[in-house]
Amino acid sequence: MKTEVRGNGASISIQNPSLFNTPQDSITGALKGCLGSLDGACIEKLLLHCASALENNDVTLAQQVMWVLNNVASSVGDTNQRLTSWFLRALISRASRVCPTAMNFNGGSMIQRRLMTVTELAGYVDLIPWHRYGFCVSNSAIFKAVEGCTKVHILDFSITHCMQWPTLIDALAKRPDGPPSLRITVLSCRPQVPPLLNVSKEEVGHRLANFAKFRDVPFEFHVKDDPRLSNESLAVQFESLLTQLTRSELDLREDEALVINCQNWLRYLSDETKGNSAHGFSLRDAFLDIIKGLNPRITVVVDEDSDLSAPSLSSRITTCFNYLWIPFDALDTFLPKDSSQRLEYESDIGHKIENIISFEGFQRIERLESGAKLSQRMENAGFFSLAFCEETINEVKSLLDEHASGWGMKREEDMLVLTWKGHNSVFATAWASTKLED
Amino acid sequence: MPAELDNSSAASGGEASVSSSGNQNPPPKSTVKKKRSLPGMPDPDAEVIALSPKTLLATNRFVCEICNKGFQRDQNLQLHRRGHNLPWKLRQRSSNEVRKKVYVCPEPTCVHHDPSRALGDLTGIKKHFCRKHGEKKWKCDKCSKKYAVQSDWKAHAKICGTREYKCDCGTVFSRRDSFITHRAFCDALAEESAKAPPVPELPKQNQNQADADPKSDSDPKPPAICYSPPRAPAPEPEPAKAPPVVPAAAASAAPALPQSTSVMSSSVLPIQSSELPENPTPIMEGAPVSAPALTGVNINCSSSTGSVSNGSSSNSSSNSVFASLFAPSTKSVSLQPPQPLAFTDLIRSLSQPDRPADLAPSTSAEPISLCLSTNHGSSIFGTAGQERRQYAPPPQPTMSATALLQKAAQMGAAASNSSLLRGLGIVSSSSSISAQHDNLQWGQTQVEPENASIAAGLGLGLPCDESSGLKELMMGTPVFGPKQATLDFLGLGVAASGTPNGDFSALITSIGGGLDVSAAAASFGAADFTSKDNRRSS
Repeated sequence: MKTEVRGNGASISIQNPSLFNTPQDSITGALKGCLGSLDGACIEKLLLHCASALENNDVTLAQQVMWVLNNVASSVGDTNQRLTSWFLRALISRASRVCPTAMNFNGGSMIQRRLMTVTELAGYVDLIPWHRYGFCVSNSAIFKAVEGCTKVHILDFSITHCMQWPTLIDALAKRPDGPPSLRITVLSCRPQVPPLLNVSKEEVGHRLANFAKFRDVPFEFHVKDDPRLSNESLAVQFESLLTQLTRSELDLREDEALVINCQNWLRYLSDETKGNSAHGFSLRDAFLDIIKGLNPRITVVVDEDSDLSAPSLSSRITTCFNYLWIPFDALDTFLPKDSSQRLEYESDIGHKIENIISFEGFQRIERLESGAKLSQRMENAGFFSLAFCEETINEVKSLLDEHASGWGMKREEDMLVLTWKGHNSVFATAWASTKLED
Repeated sequence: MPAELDNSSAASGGEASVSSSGNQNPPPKSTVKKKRSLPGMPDPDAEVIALSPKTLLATNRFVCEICNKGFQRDQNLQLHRRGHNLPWKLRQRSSNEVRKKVYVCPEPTCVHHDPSRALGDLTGIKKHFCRKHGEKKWKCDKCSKKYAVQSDWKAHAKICGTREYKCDCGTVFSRRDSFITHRAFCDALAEESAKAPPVPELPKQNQNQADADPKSDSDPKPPAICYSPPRAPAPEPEPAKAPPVVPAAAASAAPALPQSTSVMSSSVLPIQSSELPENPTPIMEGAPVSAPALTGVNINCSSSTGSVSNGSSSNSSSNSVFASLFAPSTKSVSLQPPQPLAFTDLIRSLSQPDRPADLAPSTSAEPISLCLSTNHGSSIFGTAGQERRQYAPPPQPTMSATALLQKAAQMGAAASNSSLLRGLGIVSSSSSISAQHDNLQWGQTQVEPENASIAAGLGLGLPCDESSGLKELMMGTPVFGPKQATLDFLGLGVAASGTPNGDFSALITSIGGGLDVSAAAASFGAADFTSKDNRRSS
């Protein structure tokens, strides 16, 4: 079949429609030697074809393309095949919503939910530096910012269940002038996205407190809860959240250094501008406004560096496909194809892909924006960008040295970006709420 | 005497196709002779040489400076050099006659690609390339770290296991931050702190009881989990001595009971009673005196502080209670027993991506359009066992992408009665998708299993090999390069005929039709990659 591609390609092109009538028995045998990994760009086009077909309700075309994609996809194949398998799943999931069934349809995810133990999660966040990078940069910046403070209060908005804090506690414990009293407040509401734990936030807090005690760091842990909302949708919970972010509700104390930590979080706050707002204020902007009003000593924002919230499905598919190959590729370099850790990690990314591609409206909770856009938003909200110091950079460098050699780091203005083979993956930023630094 | 072979063919080790550079057909070894000033380099007149990945991955370390042919042994190189009929003085291999060479890395994204960062010796660039961009063939047995260069691997093996961090639970870490994070959450730490001398926190309890009453009906604050170490050493549990270092929040952890904690407190309660005997001070016993609801919260707080203060089994027992409250289900539910892959099974297995279904091997006689019931097992829907077993690429595919797309078109034409909508199923009584996953919401679709056209319509479930033979087929087409015109490729506007074949042929045109244009121009060997393709074809 290689001869098809070589110089005689013209002879088998579409201009020769007789090929369409090739008798089936000659094709059948070919079926077995089925298509391996198509080129990435080709797969991307196929995905776009499929999406477009779904949007135009052209089901025949959609199924044809899905058939082709299915021959490429494999969750235990190479990077492209794996990515394709998750994208195909997401498209099928979307197709099912195009034609809702007679049964009661709750719009849940098709992908199995997986709960981890805390120790499993601890290993999970260290599989690749994806999360650890953010932890390292943020903790280093926080440590620097609270130098000389005897009391620190961290408002933790993240989805990694406090995996970030042991290393900070450890660093604070070793402070030459002794550790500060540390308080960490988390919210009880959290988007139902991986990684998921099999224990409560309180339990996590217990363990963290135990660890802090072990290191002789005075410690408190609070879960900011509003039980009335436990059954509401995430959007409603978040709206209510904003009313809870007051000095009294959070019990902020005058002598504390307040730290705001946003890790992979802002993306879940809706960016839809309220209809009645003349200034285009969205929930996300409102959140930042409130945060700024609390006058934190430092605000650190870490998230993935990609714009995955475009209204156009095709645009999302393209961007998503051209971004999420990064973690897949990173996992591919050092984990074998059948590694269960790798499969689970990829499955969690698949969860994200499904939400981005298959859902719309309020159900599409993944509304990631890139570091550049986020920085602009922060500046619009009145924050001032802080540069990371040399110590932080050196810490990150030594972290990355311990991982595979494809990981790197670069600076984009005041932003520090984790790179894989030169491509932006995770960005980290630090902000002050006032211009004058003490 | 050794034939004058091209260096690239002599480099048998060069077959390890470099993953990151994506050069499936690396260009033949090229020597770039540039005369340019190299800032920072000690020798600005050095000759910059860019070798191909194949050359760099070769295992021949001794290289003839005249023709760059590589040898594994110096003696062989010397033998070879004689064949060049060198003038007598050059036979001495004097380096001052030869201009200094520096080497750049062929990987465009690499920092050493820039001539100003070239490496000074051939061995260095080879090692660099192998390490950074090569396939990691050497694996440490202890820690599974992989290396591309054998000497690196050996060096690591000597020190591996010597500087590692070990948690009490037995897990070992080579990195400190992983160790610390794990240790913070590990059960072993909880048990270890059980052995620490108890530290009293009880005046706080008293305060809670006394001060909390006025607050008890006020705004419900969630209980805080607190730890305050004693500022003064207090080896004996003496509540009187325990300094009031309690942060205000602890005292203000109002006993009013939000509903969400009631569940917890009721379960915590029994723990508390078991903890009490451990606590020497009488004050703790007074804690459960008040109303159960009130107590619940107090206990929650106190058990956390109490547990923190006397470490002990309170943590582990509360852990276990919590753990049992939230039944951990870390394992995904296993797949149904293998069945012929009807569409229903397809959907079912969609929710269990990680469990392969050992589906019956294919019968080759089945026509493509009736694939679902016959086949080899779906690729993404419950990966077939055979895929998992084999990682070596299977024999080259006999079908190209174009042919595959053509087939899909045929399938579309043949099964024009079926539709995806029906394929996904709207109404049928039988074989509902198992409702065991509450998240498989949409999976309530039902299908008439007898409806072959539906099964055919979806046409899914064909096997997927992992051969990469197609890569080579797709390489030469510049169609895949540019990204911007993706929507143009749809050609759906063009194929306004509305027939399925019409649309699909537009699809084929966009993807495969480029063959027409490029066939004449592109030679099979030359690859025209964008960096995007490079990285993704890995």
